[in-house]
Amino acid sequence: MRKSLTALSIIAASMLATVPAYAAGERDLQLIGRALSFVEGGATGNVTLAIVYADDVAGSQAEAESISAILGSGLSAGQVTLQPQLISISDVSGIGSDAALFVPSGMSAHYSAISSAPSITVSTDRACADAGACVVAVQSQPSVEIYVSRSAADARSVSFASAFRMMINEL
Amino acid sequence: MSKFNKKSSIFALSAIAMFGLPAMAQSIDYGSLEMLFDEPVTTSATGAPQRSTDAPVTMEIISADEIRNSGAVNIPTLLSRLAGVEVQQYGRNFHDVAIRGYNQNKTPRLLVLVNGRQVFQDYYGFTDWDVIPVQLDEIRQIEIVKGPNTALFGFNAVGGVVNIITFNPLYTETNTLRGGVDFNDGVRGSGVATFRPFENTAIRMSAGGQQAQEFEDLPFELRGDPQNEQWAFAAEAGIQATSNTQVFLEGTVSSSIRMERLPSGSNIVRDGETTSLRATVTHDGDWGLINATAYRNTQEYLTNPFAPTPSFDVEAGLTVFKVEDLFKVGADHTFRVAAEYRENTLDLILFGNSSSNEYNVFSVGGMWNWAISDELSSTIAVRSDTMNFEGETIFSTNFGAPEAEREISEISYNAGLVYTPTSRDLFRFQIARGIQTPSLVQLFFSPDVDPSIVNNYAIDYDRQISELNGKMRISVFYQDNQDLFTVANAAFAPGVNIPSGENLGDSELFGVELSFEGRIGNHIDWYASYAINDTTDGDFAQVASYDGLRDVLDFEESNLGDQLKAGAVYDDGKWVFGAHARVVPSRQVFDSLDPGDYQYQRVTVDGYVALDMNLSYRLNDDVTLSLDAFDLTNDDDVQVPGGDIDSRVWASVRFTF
Repeated sequence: MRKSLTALSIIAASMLATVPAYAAGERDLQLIGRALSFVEGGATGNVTLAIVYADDVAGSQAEAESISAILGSGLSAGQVTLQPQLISISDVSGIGSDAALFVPSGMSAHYSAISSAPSITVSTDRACADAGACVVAVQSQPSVEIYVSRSAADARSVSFASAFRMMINEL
Repeated sequence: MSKFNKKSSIFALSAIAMFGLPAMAQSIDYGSLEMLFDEPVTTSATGAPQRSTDAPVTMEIISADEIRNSGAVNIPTLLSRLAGVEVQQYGRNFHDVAIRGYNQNKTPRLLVLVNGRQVFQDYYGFTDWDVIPVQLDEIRQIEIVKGPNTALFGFNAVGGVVNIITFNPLYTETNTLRGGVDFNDGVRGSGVATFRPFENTAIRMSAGGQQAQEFEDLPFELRGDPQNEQWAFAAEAGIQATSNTQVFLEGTVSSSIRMERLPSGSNIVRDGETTSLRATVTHDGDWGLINATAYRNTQEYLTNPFAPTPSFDVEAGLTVFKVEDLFKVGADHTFRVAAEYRENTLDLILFGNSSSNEYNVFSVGGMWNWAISDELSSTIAVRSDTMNFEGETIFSTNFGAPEAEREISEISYNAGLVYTPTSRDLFRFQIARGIQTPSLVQLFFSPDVDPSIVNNYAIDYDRQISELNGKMRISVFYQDNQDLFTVANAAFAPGVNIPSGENLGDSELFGVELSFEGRIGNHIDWYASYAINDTTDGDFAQVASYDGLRDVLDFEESNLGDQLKAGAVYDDGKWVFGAHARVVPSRQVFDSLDPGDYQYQRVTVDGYVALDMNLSYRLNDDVTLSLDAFDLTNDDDVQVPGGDIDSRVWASVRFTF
């Protein structure tokens, strides 16, 4: 019995570590595009959304590819059109500051590296914003919520329109 | 054109220089924020942008899509379908709209604005819906606040607020043309066009008008032709001065000829003309979102020379300077500080005698919104108004008394707590103190009249219901109305009277509103509401008459009791079919039944069921044909003593380009 419980615990822990808590869908990505439209002095038109994955996070590359497939040749939302690009966690410090870095869920072990990215960081995982690694985290269900990490935004000198700030949750 | 001394309209245009604002700012982009949050966004609750569900007041929002599918040809028709909103129609284009009771001819309790510019007419204390210079096709949304919101908007927002938001030309291009005829010789048309003369400048222009015969059963024979006419023109330019500074310039003019009914019960026919000029600068910078606005409204109403009614000619002006700053401190606190100066003037000719009076109001106010946690937020707004009145009264004009002077200072507040224990449930707790100031006409008749005070306590419970694909709301409220006033005629001889506008007493209102809305499949939206009003009047003072004292107020009997409203709209992309019904109960009002307007008597207005229906077909992306019918089941029924209303059917075509 004890062995069974231990096995179950290991399986459960393994699932938590390898299965993303929430896989981003098109609605989430549209939210991200629209939120980026409220960045002061932010880019308009085509914006590269670099989707990060890590070899040591099982399933993260598959999720990154899934998100890339949703974006296809470009997803228009707000004033931007998101263009997908896959990027390994080891390369995030080298991405351009005019791109946006999408962080899938389950990447908590790499928040330090993500924090060093020069670009704005976005996610559907609130934990990333709570940890100060992501500037923006969005949630589309059951209602739209947008979280902004002030420390992450300040670190990248990212600011938002006042009206937007009054309507979102700042962390 | 006018026989009155005119004040310069340069005030509005010089506002930008006066405020000396730095050159930076962004106005609220309602469309982008609505797309982002998947629900309407409003600034009418606290002054700050909020989702409609987060607002700390009871609020309804009518969207542009709902307006387009409603079949309505005017704003009061749209409002009449909302829970707790009462619309009474007298004459072809004369409506009185009240929220949560206390409706009367020319009701003074509802503040109406267009993009924050007041179209409520202070000089008399009413809204002339007929001359609001807005076409339905240029409206982004109509925001309706139930209950007092004086702390944000100032005097007279006591029953509620209606803020009509038009499309911002910088963000949305609107190009439509609409024309229609009704089956009783009416004809109407309107157009809206947006263009960009420069890369950083967008201009929206609109025009519309109509002609129609009055309803068949008139209280007197109208000799003017046309009996009813209305037109309006508006232009707004938006300029993106810098990346975070916008400037808006707006001008409007509107006109009407129509029959109307005064609170005293008198029927008159008047030619009205309104104008407005406005300049606004918004700046989004280190100090938050700064907005400076100046505007000037004028109204001129002349007694129609063809109508057998007494002369009651006015020219009124309102000049407003307003500056506010919205800013966020830390992650959880949003503040609004504001200052406002306004000047109201009135030139009046009554029975051939000319007189003038005016008042100015200086106001300061603030709002603090605190996001206490993810589930709980609080809002407190406070405003101080000081009004100084001076000028002629009926006693100085006719009996040699000195001119009057008054100073009135009042504090108003709104406090709200929004609690969302789950993603499906929301509770809204509200306390408010609203101020209703006497109008200039009222101060002319009764210079000692005091403001009315409305204390309001309300709780809302909203619940999302997935089975309905919609939501439910129950609102419970209690209103304590102190020092109510109205304009009534005090007769000192048969057929000879002096209007009076004194404070007459107190009244309490307890109410419950239950409403549902939902969606069936992909094509049908529906709503239903039931509203209960229970009014208890205090001891109202009576108006002295030559043959004794007479009652002139009785809200226990005149407030509508239970009201049921329901409707549905089918829209499959090609066909739109809508039906909207409201069950209006019987009520009793005091009315003057004699030509001299001195003998007030209790009159029963029978209840009725009103049914509106609309059908439209989209020929293609650009052309829509419509058939819209109103008051189909209450033809010849009375809504206001003095005349019956007629059913109307409009056939229309709408082009978009």
